[in-house]
Order: sequence, then structure tokens, then C-alpha cells
Amino acid sequence: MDLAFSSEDLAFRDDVRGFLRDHLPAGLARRESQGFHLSRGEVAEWQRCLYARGWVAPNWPQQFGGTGWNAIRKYIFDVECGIANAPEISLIALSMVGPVLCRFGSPELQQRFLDPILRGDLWFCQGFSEPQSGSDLASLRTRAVRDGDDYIVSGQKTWTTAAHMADYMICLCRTDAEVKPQAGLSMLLLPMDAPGVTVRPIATIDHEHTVNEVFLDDVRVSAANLVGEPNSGWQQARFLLGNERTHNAYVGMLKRHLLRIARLIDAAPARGASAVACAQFRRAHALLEIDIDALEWSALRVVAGEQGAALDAAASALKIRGSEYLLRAADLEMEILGREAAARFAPDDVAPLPAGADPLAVGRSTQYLYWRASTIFGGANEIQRSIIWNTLFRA
Amino acid sequence: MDFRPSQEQVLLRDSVRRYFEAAGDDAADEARDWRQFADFGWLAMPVSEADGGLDASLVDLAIVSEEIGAALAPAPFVVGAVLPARILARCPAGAARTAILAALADGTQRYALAAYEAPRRYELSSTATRAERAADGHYRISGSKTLVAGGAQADRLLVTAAIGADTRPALFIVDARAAGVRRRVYAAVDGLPVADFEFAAVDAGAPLAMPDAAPSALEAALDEATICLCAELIGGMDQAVQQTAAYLRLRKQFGRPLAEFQSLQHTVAEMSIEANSARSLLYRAIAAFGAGDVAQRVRAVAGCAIKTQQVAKWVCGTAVHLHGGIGMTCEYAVGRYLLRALVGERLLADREHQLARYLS
Repeated sequence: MDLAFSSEDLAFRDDVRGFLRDHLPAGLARRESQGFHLSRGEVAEWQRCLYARGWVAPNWPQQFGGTGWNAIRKYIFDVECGIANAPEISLIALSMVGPVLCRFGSPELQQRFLDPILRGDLWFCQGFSEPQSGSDLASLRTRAVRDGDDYIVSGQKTWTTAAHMADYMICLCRTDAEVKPQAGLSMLLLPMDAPGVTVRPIATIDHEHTVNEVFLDDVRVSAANLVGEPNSGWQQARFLLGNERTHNAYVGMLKRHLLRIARLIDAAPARGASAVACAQFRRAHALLEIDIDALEWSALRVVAGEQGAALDAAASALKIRGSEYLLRAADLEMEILGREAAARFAPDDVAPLPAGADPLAVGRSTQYLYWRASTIFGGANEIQRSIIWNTLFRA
Repeated sequence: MDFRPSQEQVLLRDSVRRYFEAAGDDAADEARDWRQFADFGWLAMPVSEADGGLDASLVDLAIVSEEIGAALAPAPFVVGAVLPARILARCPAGAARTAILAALADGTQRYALAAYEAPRRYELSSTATRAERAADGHYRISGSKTLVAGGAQADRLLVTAAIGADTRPALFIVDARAAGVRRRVYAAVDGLPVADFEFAAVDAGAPLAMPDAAPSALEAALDEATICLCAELIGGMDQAVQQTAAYLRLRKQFGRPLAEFQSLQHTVAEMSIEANSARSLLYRAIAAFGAGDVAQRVRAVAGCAIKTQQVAKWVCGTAVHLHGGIGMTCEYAVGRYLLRALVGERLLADREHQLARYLS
């Protein structure tokens, strides 16, 4: 066993920190730190910085523009970006669609899509979930019927993150209804400006616009936009969802919360919190920090390759705890803020703060409400617990 | 960074595991086990090479401890070997220290730390036990110590006592059968023996460490012992989880195995996540020890202890629950893992004490 980062890994971390310090725009980091969702335009500037440095796509093979980092370096980069309040850039295009195209796409699709994705010129949304297909994804009903050189797609997608900002949807649809559900699915790159595509925002309890319903009414998509072979969509979807096993641990984001909680606690006495309350806040912060340390070292064990056959179970455990701790962190922030946390804040450059409010209060309730989704998305936590049982204990 | 055990570490784990598979966990065989530990070289592991030992890494010590926890072995490896050896490693070197450690390593003398006192809870930075210098130049110790783990079997005791006006402890070595020593042996919750000691002007010779060095030596050695105690609890938790899953697959109610009920599956999944979280903090604590920064070490060890103690009680308690009535019986091992967890969470330091260190 060697339980320390190598000196090369530590030098790499310093390199990443230096880059973030020198290049991450302060205004962007500040907006991101508040926890509101950023627009495509706001994120574009950061993507250009990363593109110039060659760091835009850590998850891609190097010959397609990836960084060539091993899993530990990808992890270090991810965590440092989280701590520094760097926004996540076009996660679906870069972490999901890109790796799938590199692995399964035709040279023609790779030629058309990969470089524009790296540059931030093409944004994607993920067309997986449907009204009747949530956790049971393989039951989805959106159909794609071959018609000459095209597919005609009809159906409805939902919970589609960023559909209102996307150029394309990576659309999982049924191309064969006669075989078992998993064997009849295909993946299409569906242009969002095609006739028959209707995007309708879903109003969510956090009052942010992140998810949408997408109606697909006889949308004509060129068969050239099919990823890989027909009816191999399930395999591709599994690859895509398994691509970022430690991402859902949210270690960088959780460390960002811990730093903010410490600042909120420091400010609490001057804002009227009693000694008893402050002692309780410090205690809760310590216990959360310990749990997040455990999560971080569990993630390191996964990226350093310890887990072997139990990798699926380990990844599920990271997702469960990562999401639970996000909620716990956001909840603790609201608890420390007290009355102020009852206000619904807009970003502070959009609307002035309520009188006397702590600037750190901005976005706290929004983020708490958004993190409620984290136990649901990416495979609900109950699905993850079943994966753990089936992987480790079913026998 | 590499979390895979080396070839030697795999062999060590296997040899400890094989020993207990053959030897069983009967407390009556404890003295035999200890002699075997000495023969296998396990008692020499925490002793430094300069004192004739094997100078094993914390990872290796944790591996042995984990297997002892998994086997519910009665021999007090952590408090009877690791803790005294690591305290002595931080005392001034010399012929006396080397002789003590040689006797510890070959199993001819058994040692225990007699430091905790009834009114002081976990506080070891001061002591009410007194050491007075007599006319012959020897120190005489008077005072009392409670719940000494490994004290029932100990031939010699590492005793903390204050000299003169100083309330900080110096460290002495005392023959557990010397004139003026009263030992009362009784059982802890897990059935293993502990002892109370009263010292009435007992001859303790010269101090092993003076008050300027003894407290930090104690604290660092206790951190190493705490890491090993956590490993012991983790070994026990992993067994409790596996045994529970096996029981659920076997036991049928309503015409089908309990393992088919999702609420039970998910509870076992939670148990395994928690046990594995403790293991992650164990690795982090060992890494922090290697890095050498004291404040970081204290936080990492305290964090590991807080989490491990908390989850050990929950995991083992839930294992009892999922076994139903049979889990409450002495016959089944799961209940004994819970008993070990209950002692383990308060023997060296409890959650509140570690949290205070973490926040200091």
C-alpha cells in the first residue's frame, strides 16, 4: 500500500491551482459560488480558457483532444475546480456525448461533432428519461422509425436538463419493439432546431430553469446521426452513465460547501447566534467534514483502482453519500443563517439583498432545493442500494 | 497512491486469519494465543529495529488488528502489544528500554498501560497518582487506576504519576505483583477481563520518561493504538455485515428467503457503505501519521475514531436486529461484535473526547 499522493500528483495539483488562480474569471466564480445555474454565455468564457490550455475534456481519449490524465489526475482536477468555484462546463456534451462518440461514433460523426463540442460551439442535452420511464429506463417508448435516409422520431422526453440551451439531444429511442426492451434501443443525435421539436420549461421548487419537457412530433433525423449500430443504444447508454464513476461523489462541491459553512459560522455570533447555537454549528460542521473526508478517501480508493470487481458497488456508494451530504451541507448553511434563509434570493447582481442580509445567504435556499434532486437523478439512491446488494451480497 | 496490499501484507493477513480459524475464540486459550503471537513474531511487530523488533508499518499493525477483530480473538494485541511498545518507543533509548521491549516481543513479560483514573475520564495530561522520591533514590508510587485493558494478564504496568508540584504525568514501570500493588480483575461488557489497580508506595525505580516528554509520547502512542483499535472494529464490522447477508439468504419467512425483501437488502447495503467509510478514514489516518504533521495527525485520527466508533455500534447493532431473536443470543457471533464495539467506542477515548481534540 502507498497511501500518499505521489510528488508528481502533488505538483500537478499545484499546477491546476495556479491555473485556476490565474485564469478563472472572478465574477464568474462569484456567480457560480452562489449556486445559481449559469447561462451558456457565462460559461463560454471559461470553456475558451480551458480549451486554450488543452484541459477541456479530461474524459476523452488523448487522440480526440483529451488530456491523457490518469484517473487520479482527473479526480484532482475535478476537486480543485470544485473548491475554486469553477463552473461545470457543458457536462452532457463533454462528459457523456464526447466519450460515447469517441468510442462508438463513426469517423464522420467524430469529424462533425468532436471539435465543436471541445470549443463550446455545440451544446447537448440528454434525452433519456420519459414520463413513464424514470428509474426503469429500458422501458422507454419514444420511437424512431426508419424512412429512407432518415429516422422519424416521435415521443416525449422529460427532466431534460439544458434542453432550452442545447443544439442537439443525445436521444435514446426505440428502434425495435419486437425484442426485449434493452435490445431494441438506439442512440440518435437529434437537432433541437428540427421541425417537430417543442421544448417546454418545467417549473421546479428551486425556481431555477434547469429541466424541460421535450415533445418530439415526427421529427426527421438523418440516419447519419445514428451513433454506432442500430439497437446498440443500451450498451452505449450504460457506457455513458458509467463514464464518470466518481463525479457523483461531488467531493469538490462538498468542499466548497464546507468552506462556506466555516465562514458562516465565523459570522454567526455577530449576527445574533447564541453560544449554544454556535457550538452546535461547529460540531455539525466537524461531523460533516469527517464524513466528507471519508467520502473523499472512498473516491480515491475507486480512482486508484483498489475496488476491482466491486467497482459498481463502490460507485453507487459514492453517489448515495455524495447526494446525502450535499443536502446535509445545504441544510446546515440554512440552519446557520436562521431567519435570513427564509427569503428567496435572486443573484445579487440581479436584485438587491434584503436589508442587512449576509451576502453569503444569496442562493442558499435555491441550492438546498436543487440538491433535493441529487438523491433522485443519476439513478435514485434506492436503485443504487439495490445495485450494492446485487453486486456484493446476492450470491 | 495504491491501496492494494503488498504480497507480504497478503501473506501476513492470511497467516493471522489461518491461525484463528484453527485456534478459535475461546477466552480460556488467551495465554496460549499470546505465546503463539510471540512465536509468529507478531508481538515484535510494533517494536523498533533498534530495540530488536520488526518495526512494522502501521498498515501491517492494522492488518493484524483487523483480523483479531474479525476473529473476536481474546488476546489484547492492541492494548497489550502495540500501545506499550509505541509508548516505550518514545521514551529515552537505553539498555532498560531495550530489555523491556525484548521481553514484550518474546512474550515472556506482558504489559499494560495504567493511566486512566476514575475522576478524570479520558484526560491523561494530568494525574492524581503521585510519585515520591525515596531516600534510596527510587520513586514510590501511590494512587489508583481503573479499567486497565490488558491489566488482568499484565506482569508489568506502564504507570503515569506526577512528581512534586507538577501535575503532568511522568511515566514509570511497575511490577504488577510488587508489594503495595492491589489488583482487582473483573469483566468488561465484551467479556474480556480488565483490572483496577491501587498503588500504595510501590517501588517504581527510575522514571521511563519525565513530564516534559511523557504526555506527548502517550498521545502519539494512543493515536497509533486508536488506529489499530479502529482496524479491529472494522474487521468486526465486515464480518457482521457478511454474516448478516448470509443469514438473510438462509432464513425463510412467508415462504421465501428474507434476502428477497428489499427493505432488508437496502439496510445491508447501508451497513456495508458505513463499514467501508470507516475503512477509508482508517487509510487517511495512517497516511496522516506518515506525513508527520501533528495537528493533521490529531484531526485524521480523531476523525477516524469518531466515525468508526459511531458506525461500529450502528452496523453491529443493526446486524443483531436483522438476525431477529437469534441475534440476541450468546451463541451467535453477531451479538459479540456489538459487545466489542461498545467497549471499543469508549476504552481509549470516546466520541466527545475525540471531537474536542478534532476541534482544538
